[in-house]
Amino acid sequence: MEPDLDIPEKIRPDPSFMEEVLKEPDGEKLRYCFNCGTCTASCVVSRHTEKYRPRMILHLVSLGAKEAILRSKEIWLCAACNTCGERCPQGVNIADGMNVLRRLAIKHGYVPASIRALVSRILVHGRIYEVDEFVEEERQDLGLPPLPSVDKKFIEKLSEKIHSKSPSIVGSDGESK
Amino acid sequence: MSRARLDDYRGCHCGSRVDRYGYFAGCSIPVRLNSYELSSRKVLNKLGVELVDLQGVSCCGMPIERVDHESFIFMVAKALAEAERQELNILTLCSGCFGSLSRGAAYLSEHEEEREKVNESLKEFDLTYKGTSKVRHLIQILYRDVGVRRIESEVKRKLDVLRIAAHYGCHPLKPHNIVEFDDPEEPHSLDELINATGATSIEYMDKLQCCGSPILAADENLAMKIAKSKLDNIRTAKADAVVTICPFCELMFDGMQIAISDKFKENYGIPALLLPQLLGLAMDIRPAELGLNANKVSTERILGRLP
Repeated sequence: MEPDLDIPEKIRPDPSFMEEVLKEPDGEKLRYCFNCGTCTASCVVSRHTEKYRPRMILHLVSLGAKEAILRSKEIWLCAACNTCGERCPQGVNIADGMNVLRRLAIKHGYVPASIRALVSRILVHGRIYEVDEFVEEERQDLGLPPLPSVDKKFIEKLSEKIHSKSPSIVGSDGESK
Repeated sequence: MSRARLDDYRGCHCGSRVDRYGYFAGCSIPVRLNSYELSSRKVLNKLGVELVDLQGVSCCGMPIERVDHESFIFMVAKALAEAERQELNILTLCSGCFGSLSRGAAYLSEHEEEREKVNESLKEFDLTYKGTSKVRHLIQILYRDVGVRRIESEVKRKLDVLRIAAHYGCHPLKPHNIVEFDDPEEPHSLDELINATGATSIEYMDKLQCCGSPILAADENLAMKIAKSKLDNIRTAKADAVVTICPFCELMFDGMQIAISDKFKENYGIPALLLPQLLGLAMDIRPAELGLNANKVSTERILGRLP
């Protein structure tokens, strides 16, 4: 279980964190956030839990609270509905911003167990669910055409890429760092 | 765009066909919701839209977007390049796939270096990504290419007894600057398609709110709480059914409705239909041919009231 976002009383600013964020694809737009809170006000998840506040998370990024953010559960709570991005007056897509933080979390070794499981299914079956003979039979009974077979060579290549960019995605079942 | 123009819009696909698409199956529908593909194929067939099965494609890359960006782009480019190889635009029924492929394509069109990099990786598959294949969601085809008038003309069984809660979901509408479809704050495409059957697409509180399913893995209780709030509002508005255009939304409102009912000690009993299932009923296609027998929440209460 990932810990809840634990904001330390004194944040030791890590300016390199903002730089790291800005270098990630889609990360460069986060520099335009001026903390107006339109994202939090529009957010479906924020409406249903007190824990998740996208504005605050972006603020903490600029303050350099690297460890607290990357190991938190909260960055995984964005539903990616894109309402924030649609309404942000600065044109920042905060949902994309959450994906930036997630990718950095994984690169730094904070991998939720469910993500590890999902990735491993894609790299084994080529899809998030296995298309087994029961699925093929069901489709046949319904008169649906057979599914395209998975391009194994492509999945191998994909696996190489993911493992070289995010080595901590491989691991035993169980806790991330 | 004015409503009139949207209604008569006949595809700015610049010469490519609007009646023939490469079908992108994705992961979820074939394994968990074949009724969506079944009903869509039946309806599209009647409306003259041909689906060609794409080869060499499996996952759209959405789950990898949060893991590694280069790998995500690699998956999107592969899928799109396969469609280009077969000279087809892509049609998908899944909002997740639609969002992923659209966002990936937009990124590739804006980042030449990444495009060159991914094409290096695609060489060993004899593929080149050029950006010529468009990505389309079912609702765009039905609304823009087929059109409300054509659908009205195919209605053999008017559904005017039904009050329907339209659930747009998220990715067919947002981000607007990428998908360029309908209006993300005041959409009307799904409402008009529902109304074309004779049914009434009603207003209800928080109609455009997300279903919550993307965070099921991260926090199941929270996801279910979000879906519950939608079911509450749909019930308050006295809808006979909710209609969706995404497998995740449908699995939330149909497959998980009983679990949500149990968890919050409710008894919703609200049928959840996919849009092609509703359209199919209006076109007098038999419920079994639309996969309605596979819906978890019984659809009897609406089927029994139809002419």
